[in-house]
Amino acid sequence: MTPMIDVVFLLLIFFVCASVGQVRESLLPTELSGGAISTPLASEVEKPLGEAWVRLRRAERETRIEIESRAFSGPEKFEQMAGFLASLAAAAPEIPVILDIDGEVPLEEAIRAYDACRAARFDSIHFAIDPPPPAPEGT
Amino acid sequence: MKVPVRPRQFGLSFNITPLIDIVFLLVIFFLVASHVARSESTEPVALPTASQGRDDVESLPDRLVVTVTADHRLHVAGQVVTLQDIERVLSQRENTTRAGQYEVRIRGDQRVPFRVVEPIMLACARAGITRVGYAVLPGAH
Repeated sequence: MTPMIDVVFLLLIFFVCASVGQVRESLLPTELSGGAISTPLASEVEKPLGEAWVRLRRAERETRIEIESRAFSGPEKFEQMAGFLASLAAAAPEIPVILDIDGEVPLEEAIRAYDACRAARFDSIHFAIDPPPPAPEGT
Repeated sequence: MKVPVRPRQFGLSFNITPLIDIVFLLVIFFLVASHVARSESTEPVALPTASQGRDDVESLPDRLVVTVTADHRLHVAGQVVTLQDIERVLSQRENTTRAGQYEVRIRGDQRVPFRVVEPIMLACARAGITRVGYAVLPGAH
């Protein structure tokens, strides 16, 4: 019996030590569209109604959020954006939301904007991705 | 004539102590191995916070964890890789894994600009991988 108690105590000590300092991570999922991913960019005139573009623009170390005709800036911009998105989703959750994020926007703020869209319970949330630069000639 | 039979004083004994030791060692080994395989969080990154993150229980076993550190380097399984390496891995997976059965998890530092992460998402979409997730810390802002 004594060796078994020894081993059990070793196990206990191991898991106690392993769990100390362990940060529990969560997963924020996205559903990308695979395969043919590029769609022609519609012009401003032809843009269909019922499509919410959330644009995160970065200028002078400050991120500015634009949703169609409204703009949010300042320290409370994400709270204001979340409130606006919640009211929009309450009226029409089927509206596809498209996140257009500048390359210089920190990931924290990009995730925060995506998180706000998910919290508003929109049916579909998409990422607009800039096309990669053309490959240099001769390659 | 009756032959007196002397009863055995000690019956057949089976010492199971080493067996228990080995079994417990095996249990420890598999627990540690599964723990390491699940986390793959060797590179320290300051993850962003999100309120809509969910627990890891629905995660697919077949997945690729890409860690983006604050110095804009990409890490896979503890190795520094390039975007081309990731694209190559994803294209190989595309041939061997059924659609929807593969997951890519991006563990990005919160200070990293989005332009570093964007090509990974683009590579996933091109490879037909639809399940892409961001590792976040639970909590509200």
